[in-house]
Amino acid sequence: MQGGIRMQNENNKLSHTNTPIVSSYLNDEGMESIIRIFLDEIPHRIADLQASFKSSSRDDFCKQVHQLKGAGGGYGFAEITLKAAGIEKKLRVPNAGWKEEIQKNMDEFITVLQRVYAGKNVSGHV
Amino acid sequence: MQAKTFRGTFKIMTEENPTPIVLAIDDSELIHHLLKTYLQGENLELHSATSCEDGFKKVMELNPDLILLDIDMTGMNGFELLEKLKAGTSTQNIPVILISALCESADREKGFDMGAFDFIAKPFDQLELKAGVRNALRMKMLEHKTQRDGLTGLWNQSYFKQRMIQEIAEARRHSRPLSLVVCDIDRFKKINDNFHHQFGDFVLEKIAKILLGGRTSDIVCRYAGDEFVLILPSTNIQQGYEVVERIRTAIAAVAWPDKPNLAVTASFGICDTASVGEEVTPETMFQAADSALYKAKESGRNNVRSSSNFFNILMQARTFWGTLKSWLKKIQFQQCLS
Repeated sequence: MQGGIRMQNENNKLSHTNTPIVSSYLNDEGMESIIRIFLDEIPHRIADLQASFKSSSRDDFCKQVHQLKGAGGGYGFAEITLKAAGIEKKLRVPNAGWKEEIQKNMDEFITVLQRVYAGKNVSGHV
Repeated sequence: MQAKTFRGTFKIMTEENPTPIVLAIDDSELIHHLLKTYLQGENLELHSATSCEDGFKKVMELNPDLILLDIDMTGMNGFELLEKLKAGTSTQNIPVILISALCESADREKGFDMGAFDFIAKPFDQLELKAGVRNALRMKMLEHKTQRDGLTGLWNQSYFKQRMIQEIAEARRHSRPLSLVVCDIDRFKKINDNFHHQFGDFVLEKIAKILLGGRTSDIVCRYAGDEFVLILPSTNIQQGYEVVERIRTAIAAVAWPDKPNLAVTASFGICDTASVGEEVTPETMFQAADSALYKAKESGRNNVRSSSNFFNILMQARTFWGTLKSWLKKIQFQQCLS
């Protein structure tokens, strides 16, 4: 297992396409099993994020975003950390209209998570 | 080699006990999975807690060698737990590495000001994490080495002085008693002269083991040469006397290999916070226990004396009554035979 979080690599470019995103630890045998667990949980995490966003549960939403920000990069998905950090930065400013403020970021974040999930079937992840 | 656990508040991590305990406190299971994977292969035992409240309980149970602590958690947060750990005498020396996605310089500064050993930003990489963990554990091991007596493995005098300050503060804060015992092996010079220093060292090691065989909460230190000290938290002079009597009896009962006629005994002086007077300091407590030890030596050795004269009279009366009872039993037994 190699150290170092690669913020970008050939398989994990910061882009707005719908191409699957794969972990920068793709060929790392030591990471394989936990990346699989992480990927399996993504649909639930998307559902939880959308639910707390929809119900305006700001604290729950913040916590979910914060956890993904802290963990995403560690699993080799730097884009998750970057997008979550962007949302968290905006949430730090008290704002009654926070949902409108971050709607665009939220959509992008969900897209990234979906692309990460779509990378599940790329050789090496399963 | 089997791991050797030393008694007292801190478990020593040495060549004999090579598996340090690391406790990770983070409310994200994702992070626990990562830590487990990143640290597998490291020579450590990893435990986890998903809240600061649960984490604190585990700290008290496990007495870990290192804590990896997240900051941003619901309920008690990481800073609050860090403050609590640094305020507790039994937890303040455990190194804490803050692992957090709060990456502002102010958060780092606050953590270091509060006594954190290191700060690792999330997302972290494996090498950074390993280096941080190894560094903290290495420092902990070095600290332990400088506070341990090389021969017996007990805490040394320097640790004793530092620990007494903490225990007195703790006793005062919680209004609970604290006893101090000074123990000196009787005629140890003669043992060394007659049987050589190698055997003398063997005697010291054996007595150290007996002293450690008492209660887990007691802190046993080698003060100097053949003199030991025991800090007995939450213990008044009467309770301390019972503890010390058991130790004294155990020492006197040791059968020394190849020396059937040898009897090694020890004398003890005990005091507690109540018997010392108004000015309770490590120095006044040591002086009181040491003076009591002199009384024990003057009274014929192999006994326990306290700083309280009244208590000494009570104990002498109790010893006298015990002796009288055993004589009466013997007489009754002899009468039955005749």
